[in-house]
Amino acid sequence: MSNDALKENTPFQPQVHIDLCHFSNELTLLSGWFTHQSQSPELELLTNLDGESLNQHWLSLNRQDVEEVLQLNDDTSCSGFIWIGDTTGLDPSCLHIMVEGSGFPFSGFSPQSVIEMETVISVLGDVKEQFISTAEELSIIKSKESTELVGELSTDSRQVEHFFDHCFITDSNLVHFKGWLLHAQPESVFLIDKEGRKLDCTSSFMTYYRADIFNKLQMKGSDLEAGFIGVYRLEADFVPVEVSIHFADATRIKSNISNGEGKITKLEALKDLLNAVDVHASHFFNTGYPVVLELVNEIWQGGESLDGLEAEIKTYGTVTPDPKVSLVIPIYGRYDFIQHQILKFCRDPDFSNHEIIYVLDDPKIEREFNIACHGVYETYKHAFKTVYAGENLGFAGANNLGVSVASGQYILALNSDVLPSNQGWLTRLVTKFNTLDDAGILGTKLVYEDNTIQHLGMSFEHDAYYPGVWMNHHPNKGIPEPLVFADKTTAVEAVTGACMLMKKDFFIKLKGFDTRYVLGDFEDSDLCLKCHQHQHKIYLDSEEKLFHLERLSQNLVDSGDWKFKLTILNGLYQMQKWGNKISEVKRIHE
Amino acid sequence: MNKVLIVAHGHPELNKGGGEQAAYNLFQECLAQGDDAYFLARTDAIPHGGAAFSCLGSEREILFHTTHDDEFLFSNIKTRHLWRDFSDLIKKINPDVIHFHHYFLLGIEMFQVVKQLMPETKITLTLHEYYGICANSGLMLKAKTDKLCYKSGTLACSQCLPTKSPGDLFLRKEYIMQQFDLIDQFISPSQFLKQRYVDWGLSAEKIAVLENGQPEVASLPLKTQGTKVRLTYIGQINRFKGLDVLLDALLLLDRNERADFQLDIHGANFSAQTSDFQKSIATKLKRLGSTVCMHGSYEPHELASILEDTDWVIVPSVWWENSPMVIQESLNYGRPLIVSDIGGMAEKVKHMHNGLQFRAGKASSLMQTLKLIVSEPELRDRCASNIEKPLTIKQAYSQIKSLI
Repeated sequence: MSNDALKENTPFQPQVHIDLCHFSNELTLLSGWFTHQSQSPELELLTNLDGESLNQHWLSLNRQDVEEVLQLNDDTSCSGFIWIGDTTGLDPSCLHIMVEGSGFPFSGFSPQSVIEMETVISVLGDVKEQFISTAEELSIIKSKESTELVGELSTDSRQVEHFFDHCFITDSNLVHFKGWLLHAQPESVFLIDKEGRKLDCTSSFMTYYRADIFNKLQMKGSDLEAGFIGVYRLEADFVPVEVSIHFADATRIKSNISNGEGKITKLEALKDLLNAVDVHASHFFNTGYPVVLELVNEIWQGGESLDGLEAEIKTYGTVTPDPKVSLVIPIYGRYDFIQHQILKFCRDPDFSNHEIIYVLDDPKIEREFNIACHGVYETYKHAFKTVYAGENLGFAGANNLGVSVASGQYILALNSDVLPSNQGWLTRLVTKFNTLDDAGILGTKLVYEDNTIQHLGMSFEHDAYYPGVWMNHHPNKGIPEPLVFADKTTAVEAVTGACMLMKKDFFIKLKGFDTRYVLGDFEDSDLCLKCHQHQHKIYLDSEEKLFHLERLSQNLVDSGDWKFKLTILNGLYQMQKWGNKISEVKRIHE
Repeated sequence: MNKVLIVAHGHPELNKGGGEQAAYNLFQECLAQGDDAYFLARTDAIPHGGAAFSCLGSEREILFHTTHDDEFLFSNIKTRHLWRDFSDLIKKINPDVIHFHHYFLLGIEMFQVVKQLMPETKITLTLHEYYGICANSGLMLKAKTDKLCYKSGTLACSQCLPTKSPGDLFLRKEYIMQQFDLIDQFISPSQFLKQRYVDWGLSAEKIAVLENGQPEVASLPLKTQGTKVRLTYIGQINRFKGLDVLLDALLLLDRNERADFQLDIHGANFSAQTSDFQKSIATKLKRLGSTVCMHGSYEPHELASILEDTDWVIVPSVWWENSPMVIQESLNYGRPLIVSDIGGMAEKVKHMHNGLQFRAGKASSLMQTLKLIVSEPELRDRCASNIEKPLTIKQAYSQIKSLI
């Protein structure tokens, strides 16, 4: 049988393909191609196979490319199409496409779904406006929608696809909002109050890559950072009700700010932010981190200043009226360390000369902390003070608060998981301190419970795991103590904040620990750098030995990716703050 | 007249245990010698009206309704029980000496409270097991495998106790050691236990090895051996006491060999054990049939009649033990023993002297020992004849007094 005979006997069966589709509430836009033998092919969408025709409009396009690939017979052609229809209230999967008298259920196609209508009609080029205009005349779309489609009218009524995951005020005064948007880099961000007053918070806003949106919307090839996050600490006299994000083309998106407290904690907000940060991105160490630092600071620094803090001070027993040293010991998580420390201190007669101050830095354990302190005092009858600001201040803030209520001539910043190994050590350290030239801070040897070195001074080192950051290196860490030879006293680059002796006046002159570091990473080395800046020296004593059960306190804050990022950010802040000073200190100690 | 306070972790009338009984015996001896003595025993019974104390029997026998708030440290500081209630009580008793028989469940800060309030008061502490050294119920057994543990260490112990880090174990030891610093005299009923504490870090000079002391009783004459060898198991029944090893040893004998034995079990607390353990023992008992008879718990005054018909007392514990009361009681009544060859048991019962030893936890070894006592029946009388009368309570108390 010849081909011609076959042609006569076999009815033509068109092929249909849909490349892209866009659905909004009322409109459906499709692009694709179909084959036909008619010179004036018809394309029509029905509500179902026997259903009504939709209010629709389509435009045919040349698809020579497809014709070549399909190797069509001479009597068969291929046309591209852009189709638009009013699909209000319809389920698109029920639609049927009619081509050359053949019906195709829409559910049989797998087009790529796109968010922006512009993506579908962009192929129309010069005839785009004409196509939209016709659709408008046919009442398929309203004039307002048409402007969005053609993308030329710059009014702020144009839509940007977006979603606010949340937008609220938490942690008393922290505006926190996040979500995604499909638009190039926003230009400015404002908080707006009831009277319409605007507060520019652009510097507290960043965009980032969101894998979920990227995958969902099949944004392959796009480098759009769809995610956004904003955090802003409010001043007392400004209560915003709306967040407004503005773009260079005068479009904007906005969200109401819901009121209410405690939606997420400061720590959760911090984790949330850090989860959005890609520290491995090539631009991060050059241009990316300052804005992240700014945001971290906004989240963490609610209580930066001690001014206005109403700290509750309790005194258990009669504290030495004129103490030589005030020990300042922050408590976070594990309050049972108090029991262990007080037992050690009360068995050391030297401690009648000193003052012990525990700073509760963890509101979650306030009740248990108070019960334990009472029991510890009643059992051991050794006096101590407690201070509580009613909030978590972090390592630096807690120490600064403790020092603010200290009466001693000296302060000893001490971790709660540090235990002395013998008696009289504190006065011996003070005595040594006074023999040293230009002493600013004196640290001492710390060992783990298995008598391996935990701390024997610190040095600033580079670390491949934390590129571009000076890390605080602990030389000799983990080495059995008897194997390590150290001078009785050595000038060092830095010492750990787990045990630091210094004059209280000098600590105050240095303005204490810098509270911009988050969760205890670099506050100690920062204080040491301040000390160097003031022409004082850091010394390490190796005649005394205290146990430091470092892992016990570290485990209180879960590790993980966000903590790693935080360490990098703290390190970057230290580098940003101190610049060449670190290299200078290193040169002096070489 | 001496003012004496004896403190125990339980009253033997409410808690059947060797330590509790030893403490109570000492209290009775103090009274007998004319001391102004009091007995303070911890209880978990509900007190009246939230009071910390109540009395049992007489006003000199005081129950202390408390428990520690930190089991890991044996610490009891959060409630007022030690620093207020116990403190008030000892102020009123004002003892010259306090004999502590435990700190478990009471609170290890008791020593601190005493020394703070009355530094001149002497404190003795009788060590009954390895609680200070071992946070796994003081057994010195590996937690996951129940294998014998020879030495504590922060890392090794943390592997036994996964929720505790080496640092936690370091803190625990430091804490307990500092409380032990306040003890004037430790008393260890066995050399083995003393050595474990010395290895741990206590000063050997501060620990005297001194048995708990037994009531003065006459040895029971050995009866003519009958057709069956009469074995007796006395004491608590739990998975560390090795009753299953004993039953397995009997099961390893063939039917004819087994017919040579009769085992009587006078054991306490069986019903408090896990259902798996109970089920396992019950299965073995069923297979052994009339060879074994379970009698339940016993009272101290029943001991003589229990031991009267006994040829051998068996102590098959799979943990170290200290100085098991049942060994002292058996020796007191002149009965030879078959014991596991470890710890306090091996120290008190010498092989082929006053008893026999077998390899701890090994049913086959015990089975061979059982065959031996059948094939060599004269062993019973020979071992019995070598038994030395243990220290009497009176002698023990005299020696304690001489120590302080």
